[in-house]
Parts: sequence; structure tokens; C-alpha cells
Amino acid sequence: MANLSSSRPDFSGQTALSGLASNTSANPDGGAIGLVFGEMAHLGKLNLRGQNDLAKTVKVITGCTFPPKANRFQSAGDRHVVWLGPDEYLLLCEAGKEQELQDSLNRMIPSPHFAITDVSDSLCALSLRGPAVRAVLAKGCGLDLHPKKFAAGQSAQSLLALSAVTLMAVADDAFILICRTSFAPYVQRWLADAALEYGYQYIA
Amino acid sequence: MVSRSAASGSPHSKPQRAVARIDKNAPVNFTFDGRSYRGFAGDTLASALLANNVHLVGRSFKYHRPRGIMAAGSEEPNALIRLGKGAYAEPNLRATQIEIFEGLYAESQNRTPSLKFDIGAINSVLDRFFPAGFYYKTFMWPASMWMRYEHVIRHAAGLGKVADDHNDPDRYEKTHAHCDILVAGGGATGLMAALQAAKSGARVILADEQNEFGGWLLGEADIMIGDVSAFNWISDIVAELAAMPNVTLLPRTTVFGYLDHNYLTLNERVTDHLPSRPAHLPRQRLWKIRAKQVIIAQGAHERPLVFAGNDLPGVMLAGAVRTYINRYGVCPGQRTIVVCNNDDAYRTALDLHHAGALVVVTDLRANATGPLMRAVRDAGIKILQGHAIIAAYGNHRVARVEIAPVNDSVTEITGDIDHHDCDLIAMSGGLSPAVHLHSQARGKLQWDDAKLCFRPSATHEPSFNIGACNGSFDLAAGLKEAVRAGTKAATATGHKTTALDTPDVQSPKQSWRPLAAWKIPNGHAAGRGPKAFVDFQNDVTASDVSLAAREGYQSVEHLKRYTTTGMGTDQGKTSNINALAILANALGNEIPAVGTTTFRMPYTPSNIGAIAGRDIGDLFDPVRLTRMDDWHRAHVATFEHVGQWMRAWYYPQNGETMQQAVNREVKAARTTAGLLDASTLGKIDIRGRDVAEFLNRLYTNAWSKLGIGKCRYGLMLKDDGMVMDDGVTTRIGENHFHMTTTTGGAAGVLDWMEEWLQTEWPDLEVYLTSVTEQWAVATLSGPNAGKILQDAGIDFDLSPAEFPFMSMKEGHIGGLAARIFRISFTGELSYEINVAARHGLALWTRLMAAGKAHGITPYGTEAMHVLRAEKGFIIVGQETDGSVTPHDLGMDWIVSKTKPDFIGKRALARHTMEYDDRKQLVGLLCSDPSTVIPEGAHAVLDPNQPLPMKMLGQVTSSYFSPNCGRSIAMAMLKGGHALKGQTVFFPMLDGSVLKAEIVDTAFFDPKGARING
Repeated sequence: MANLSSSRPDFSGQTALSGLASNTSANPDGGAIGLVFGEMAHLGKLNLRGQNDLAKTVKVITGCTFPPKANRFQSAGDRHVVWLGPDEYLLLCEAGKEQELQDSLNRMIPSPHFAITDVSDSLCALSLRGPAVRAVLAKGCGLDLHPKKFAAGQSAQSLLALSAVTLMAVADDAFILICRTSFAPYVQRWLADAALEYGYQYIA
Repeated sequence: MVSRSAASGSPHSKPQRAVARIDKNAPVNFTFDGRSYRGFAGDTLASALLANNVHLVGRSFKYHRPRGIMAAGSEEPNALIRLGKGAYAEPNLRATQIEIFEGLYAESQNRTPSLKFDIGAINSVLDRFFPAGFYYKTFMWPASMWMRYEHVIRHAAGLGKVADDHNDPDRYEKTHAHCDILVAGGGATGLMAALQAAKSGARVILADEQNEFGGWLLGEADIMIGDVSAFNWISDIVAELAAMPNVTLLPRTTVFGYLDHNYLTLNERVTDHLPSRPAHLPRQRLWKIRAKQVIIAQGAHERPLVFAGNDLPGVMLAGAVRTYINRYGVCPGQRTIVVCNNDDAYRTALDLHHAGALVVVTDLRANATGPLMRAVRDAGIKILQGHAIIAAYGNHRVARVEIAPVNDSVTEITGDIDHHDCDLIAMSGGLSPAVHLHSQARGKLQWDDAKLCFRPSATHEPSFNIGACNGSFDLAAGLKEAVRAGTKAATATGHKTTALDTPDVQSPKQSWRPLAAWKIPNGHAAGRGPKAFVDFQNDVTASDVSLAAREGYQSVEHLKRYTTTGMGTDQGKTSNINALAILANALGNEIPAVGTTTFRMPYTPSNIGAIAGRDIGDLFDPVRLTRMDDWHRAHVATFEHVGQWMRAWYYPQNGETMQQAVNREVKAARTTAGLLDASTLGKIDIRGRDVAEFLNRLYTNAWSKLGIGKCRYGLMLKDDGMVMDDGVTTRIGENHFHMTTTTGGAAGVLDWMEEWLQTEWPDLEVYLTSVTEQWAVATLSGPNAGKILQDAGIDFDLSPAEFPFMSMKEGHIGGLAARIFRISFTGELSYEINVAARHGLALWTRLMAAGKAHGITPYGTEAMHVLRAEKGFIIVGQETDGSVTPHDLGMDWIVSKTKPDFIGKRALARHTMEYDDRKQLVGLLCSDPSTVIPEGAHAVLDPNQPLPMKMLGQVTSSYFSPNCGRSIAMAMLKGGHALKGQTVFFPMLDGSVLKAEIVDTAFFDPKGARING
């Protein structure tokens, strides 16, 4: 069987939002732009399913420890492991690294009961930051996004308006948002629209 | 000290004792019914109209009677106006809640042609013909005429007209919020409770429907709190709250709904009060708030008194009159009569007197005493105790009244009738706590026999009622409740706090026990004499309520529907208790035994635009596009919605019709090659030791022996044995499978599989991951498909020996890593080429380029449907509807007889599955080969049988097949399998009858000879 990885790493081709241009709408009240956001193009994404031995190997291979609790993520540099379920995690890694990590993990995990699936093209990650980021998200998300209730390191799977999303609080004023690729144009439009009163900058 | 203006002849009051809340330095021009007026910043439309001596502002619902402004808040039943013009117009807004702004344009409603001369007022003369339940009695028969009656009735009766344009041009938004404590109502007690709670550090949201906080205190001039005036106390506490980071203040925000688990909905009027609305701000914002604790401080509504002519313009609630005087600096009359059953209205008498009006107090009570009465008497105001206004008269405004002595229970006139001229009646029938939110949240009510009102008892949600809405009308008592509730709510949410000192309140001493006097006698028999209104908005009179009771409508819910009492935009805020009491009297029952109607959201009408928010236009619903979408658009495809996906439907060229385009595409896929964007197919990556066993249980056929690199078609049944989905699943490795599902079924199938794994078979080692969007898929089909793949640069041997039908290989095509499945939904040589989604467009353009020399033709979903129908392949959801078994589809071959179990197996063994009249899938050939039988057409065996005909079943798929050179169809017919060779008929709507022969479903290449090209 041919090796699918032979053409990787590959940053060519389309991303969810590669057709979009940068766009800015000033803060109508003057002052800082409320929301600065952009696609984390080609960010590597691996869906991990498995038990404890998966955690050990992931630590060895990626440097990330598994989050100790539900709805948390753990980071090691630019890599993050996000809790999705009792036996399901999402590994985010540098663009183009996903195949190498997948191969290593597949080789090293001792138990046969695990699944590592490349979902880099299936999901779109957006980086969101700015003083209004939480107010903007609150317009579409029913979770309590107060910085004390959704602090850096916390994550959740929820709805943003009409799209399923995974939210990761990176800082008080910064999030990573992950959605299905085909929902990304909707989410991008929705975010720009919701941020109108605070001003926004979309960085292509 | 403010007087409004010096214009002569105006009703503007003399200097007030406290500073009114209008800005005399900021005049505001506005238009009402075509005339220009001037008010001041801080005015409502109602106060500005009253300041301009405009009392007649609308016509009533049924009788078109002239109506004026009765209240000063959201309980206003009469003063409903249409605000704005054209597409911006909004009907039925309460003038008492509209803040005026420069250029405001308002019109009165329900009058033709003008407010002063309204031809509908003839209804008032014909009132004998409009009793309670009029519609039900008159328009019952014949039923067929109802539509015509309704048109006339709806036009004659009713409220305002909606906007002239159906496209609301305003921006609306929604947002979510969470807090420890939501305080609903920002009057004195709401402010106090919010401060108490906020001091603990708890997250507090305080919402109030008015433009500024303070509630009814804004309308009082004789109250001191601590050592400052009520106004100053309010400003101080609002400033303190505004400075706290844990507090969100929401003025102009109505808490209109209280749902389960302390979930509340609020409507914030963000820019309604501005002359021009900034484009970046919503006009209104819907707040959806989850609160740990709720403190309800909604206040109370004053009740009207039910006397004849009580609906005339110039008859107002006594508290509202006080508000207009003190808050807005308008004295709404000069010769005034205060009529009441309680102490509180005496304060209105004093304020009217201080504002320079002549005042007479008519007290229904014979021997009320107290400091307020003394103060009124000391001011030289005449008090008629044991008297009532028995009738009021006037044309467009009250002009004179009849006053007479009454007995203690106010049921009889006991002496001579006196006539008084007047231009204002300030009436007060006692207070009704606003128990709306408490009741919406399933809180209980109890009747207070002393205060004559329903007030909250047990709460259902974690909440507190404080102040007037709790029946605690005394301010000092209300503030104590506020401190208590604020402390308890803070503690309940895990915050520490110490109770604040309740400030001393200096206000007139008064009793809060009104006299029970629900219907004031007028010397006429019931139903005769001038009308005394109970529900002003719905034109329900006291005699309507009595009539309904006599006719047997004894339940309060029946009374409401029969008379329409308590309906409309005000939902009976001023009328409900009076109606209940009159009903109870008529039934000889107690008020608590009669009970209240159910309180439902919204508290006040909420704009639908705010509920829709931004879920409109291109944000109405996500539209999912494939990675090849740019190409489809560039090549002018026509699209169809498949769920949220937008799929290329067909690609018309050179002005082709749809039929011509589809014919060309279908033909090409069987003569040269067709290319379909199949990216939307559901795809699930399945891994684990037990996948084969899992698939055995999930599908009807056997999976254990599927070789690596091999594909198999499967049918999935629900546990009732009915087909739920189908697709091809491929073994990628020993413990690794790739499943495809229908486009529409993808999410449901994944959930279904997860549910079985998690709840029934946790012992199976199987992991599922959706990869629908990881792969872009192009399906290349037709005799030239192999050649095109060669020219596109495939890197492995395509010969059928090396790459047989129903197998999969991984390789490269033009350098792009790909999984290629040799499966076919057309019956032709066909390859489903999967590449990483990022390369989907590149794959498509490469195949199109390589296929140019080989007649490659892109085809859409319509051609896909025709191609599969030519082969008799089903589409789940088109041939099936959740009540179809594999046997019904003639697919017994896919149901394993030897597997011990699979989902649906047991259901398939039920004896009902063997009934010979089950609908079964058959093919149809219309007797006219050029006629396509409409999908959905019903088949009968004998078209001449009498109606109703016996239906055999319906056509599920029907197309013109260019490859068969004729029309083809599939149908689900009762006992269809046994009917092959017979003729069935399809009676059409136009009276014609189509005829068709029942045949096999495989119309084209029934032997499958073409599968290898």
C-alpha cells in the first residue's frame, strides 16, 4: 500500500478561509479594536481516542501532558491537547507536523485499542483576541464566559450561534475557536458581524 | 424648581416642590397625527402630549370610543400609538414608554379617517349588538362564511397596522449573560437589593424597563430617604452601583420572561430613544440570562375604579397623575376630581393642589381618617366621604361627573346626585402587585384580604419577591425586604456580606387597606346605562363580565377567552383583579376561590426582530460549501440545498433548459465520462479490534470476511427493522475501516453508532471519528474513466485484475495522495477519488484537464439521481420513509440469514412483515414513453372506481432517462412484487389518467455488464 504521507508536509492547497481577504472595521467609539481574528491556516490536528497508555505516549512524542480534568487543555509551546470526552482528545500541532506525529504515535502506543485520525482539513482553527473577545462570543454562546468561570486553560464544546464549536481560553482576552471546515465561512461572517460595535480586524 | 414653560393657556403646572426629570433647556420637536408639538428631553410621548393639552390619543378596540392616557408606565391599556414611518413603523407602542426625540413621528391607531371623527364609533351606538362573546354568537354559521366574516371583523376591530414594508430595516441582536443575582426592577427596593448583593462581590445584573432607575419614586415629591430627597437617594445609589465592576446596569430593559432553572429573557431598547440610530448598534437586544438567584422587584399596578364613563380621556390613575406632575412637570387638569377607595390617592390630591389645580376628593369610604386626610383638609380641599362618581361624561375628554352618596359596601346610591364640571379624574382602586414574573416561574399566589390583592407566596425557582410586587407597599418595609433578600441571595451564591443599614424613610403615614368596591352603581339595571369598563384595551365592560357569568362561563380561564378580558398588549395589568372580583360577586364566590388566569411571557410585548437577532440574511443558517465549490460557481452550476450543504445540481450550457442539461450530463456519464462532486457524503473512520464484529451487528449483511482493501455495500436498519441508511464501507487495514453514509444521514448515523457503542456494547473495542470533511471526493464515472485517470497521472495499475470492482487502493494522482474506491452508483466503471480536502479543487481541475480529450462532463445531483434510477438503485429517504424493510425494497439478498443477530433482525421476524399488502418497490413504465409521471402520484388499479378510490401506493422517483430513451419511474405499491406485468393508473389533478406497466427496477444494463468499462 502506498504511503499517504509521502506528499506531506504540504501547505499548498486550500484552507477553510483561504479565499478571504483581510478586513478591518474601526471601533466606532474610537480606541482599541475589539476583536482581532484570523484563521490558523493548516494547523495540524489529530483526533486521539484511547486510554491511559495513549496519554503516556503522547507525552513522550509531543511533550504535552493530557489535561487532568474535563473541559481543559494542556499546552507545550504551540502544541495543545484538548479534552473532548472521557476517551477523546484533540491534539493541535505545528502546521505540517501532524503526519510525523501520527506515524510516531501509531508506532509507539503499546495497546492496540486506540485511534489517531488526521482531522487537519476537517476542522478549522481560528485565533481570536482583543478586549471584546468574550463579549463577542457571548452573543452566540450560552456558556458563562466570565474570565473567572472560563479561565485560561479551560475549553468547552458548545454552540456559537448556529455552529458547533470548541472554545479554548488562551488568556483573558484570547481564544482559539475550532469548528468544522464547512462552517468556518459562517463563523467568520458571524464573528465580524457580532464584533461590529467593538470594531474588528480579520487577518487573512 | 421647574415649571415647564410659560406658554399661555397651557396646562403646565406651577413650580414643583422637587426638580422634575425633564431638561427644560433641551426642547424636542415631534409630530403626532400630522401636527407638530414640542416637549423636552426626559419626556415620554405621553407626558409631552399631556403637556400640549392633548388627551385624546386613540380609539378603542371594539367600540372605537375616544381614549386618552390612563397610566404612566408599561401597564397603559389605551394610549397605543404607531411610531415611525414606512418600513420603520411599529404599531401598538405605549405612549407612556416612548421617550421622545427630535423628529419623532407618531400616529394614533384604530380610527378612520381621523381620531376626532371616527366612523367606527358607530359601534358604540350599536353596542346592543356587540355583547360579550359577540363573535362566537354571531359568526358561528355557516362555517364557510367565517373567512369572509373574519376579514371584516379584523379590519373593523383591532389595534395598529404593522409596518408598510415587510423588511424590518433595523438591526437587532441577542446575547447571553450569566450572573449570581439578577434583580428585575430598579425601583427603590430593586436598587437597595442590588447594592446589598453587589457589596458581597457577587455578579449582579440590575434591569429596569424605564429610561432611568428609580421606579415609582421618580414620580413622588413628598418622600425623603435618609436625609436626602428620594431623587438624590436614587442618584447616589445608582452612581455607587455603576462604579462596581461586578454590576451590570441595564436601563430601558424589560425582564419579559422567566423560564425554568432561573433562565430569564430581557429586551433592551438600545437606540429606540435616539433620533438617529447608529448603524453599529442594535436597535434592541435580547438578553438571555442564567441567574443563580433572582430578586423580583417589579412594583405594583394601580387599579382603575369601575364606574360609568371611566374610559374617557382625562380619566387617569391617581398615581400616574402624580408622576406626570412630579416627574414631568405636567399637571394634566385644572378642575380635578380625585376618586378613591384608599389613602394613597390623597397624595395625588395634595400634588394637584400644589400644582395649582382645583381639587375635590370623592372617597368611597364613609369614615376614613388619618394624617393624609387632615393634610388635604388643611389645604382647603373638599372631601366627599362615602361618595362615588357614578358616571362621567364628555365628548373627547371628560367634562362633567355625577357624584352621589353611596352605602358602605358601594352597591347602592343612597342620596341625591350632584353634577360637577371637571377636566380630570384621578382614580385609585388600590394596588395590584406585579406578580407576573413570579407567576411565570410557577410561583404560588395568595389572596391578601386586607390589602385586597394577590401577592406571592411560595416561589418555585430560587428567587425572592420584594417591595410592592410582594404586597409590601410601605417603602420602609420594602427596603428592609430588599436588604434581607440581597443578603440571602448573596449568601446562597457563596458570597459573604453584612446587612446594610436600612435608611430611614420619611413619607406620609397611610393605611394600605382599601375598601372593597369593585363595581360602582350607576342607578341603572345591569347592562343598561352608560358603560363602565373593566378591560379598557379590549372594551370589556362590567356588564360583559356579569353576562358571561350568567351564561355559564364560571371558570376564570373561560371568562378570559369569552370576553377577551386580560388579553391584548397589556395582558390585563390594570383589569384582571377588577374582572375577577366582579366575576366572583356574580358567582357569589370569594375572589381566591375564583383564582387568576395563567401568567405567561412576555410581560410586555417583545419585538420579534429582537428574538430573531442576527439569524437573518446570510446568517440565517450556515451554508456548507465543498472544496470544489469555486469551480462549480465559475462554471455556472445551478445549486440545490441538501441539508445545510449546497450541492451542484446541474451545469446548464449555452442556454440549456434543466432537462436538456441533465440529459446531456446523464448521457455523457455512460458514453464518455462524468465527474461528480461527492464530497458531502458522510465519512466515518472506524478503528479497533472489534470493528468487523461491530459492523456485523450494525449492518444486515456479513462483514467478518471482508478482505483488506475491499469494499462492501451495507444497509443499516433501525431496531424496528426499517431501513435507516446505506453506504459502502471499506477495510483499510486489519482493524481500520472507512464507512460512507448518505449526505443527510451522516451526523445521525455517527450518533447512532456511538450510542450503541457507549450504551449497549461498551465491551467492543471500536473508535469512531467523523472524517466527512477531511476528504474531498470526486467521482469519475463512465467508459473513459480509466483513461482519464491514466492521463491525470495515477501511479498504480488500474486493470480490473489488479484493481477489481469493490476494492480500494491508496496511491497518487497527479502527485496528490489519494484513496481511490472502485465503487459505482451509476453502474458504469467508476472511481471515487478521495484526497485531503485542501487538495479537492486541485484534484477536480486536474481531472477536468485530463478528461478534456475524453469527453469528461461534470454532472450534478440531478443527473446522479437519474443515473442511479436507471440502474434501480434506491436513495434512502426517497424510496424509503422509515417504514420500509429490505424485503419491501426487494433487497433480501443483503439480509444475512446466518448471522446470529444484527440491529433490526428480530423486528424483521414479526409476522406483520409478511403481510402481502406491504408497500413494495417496483419499476414503472408509463404507456406514453415521453411522459414523466409526477413523483408522489398515487396509483390505482381501476381509474373508474367510485370515490374515494383505493390507493395502491405512490411514485417515489420519476425521470426521463436519455439512456433508455424514455421515461422511467419507481414506486412503492401494496403487494407490488406480485403485480409485475400488470397495469396501474394514475388519476391526475386535471382529470386525465396516466397508465403504466409494473416492471423490474433495473431499467438499464440489468445484467451489470458495464461495470468494467
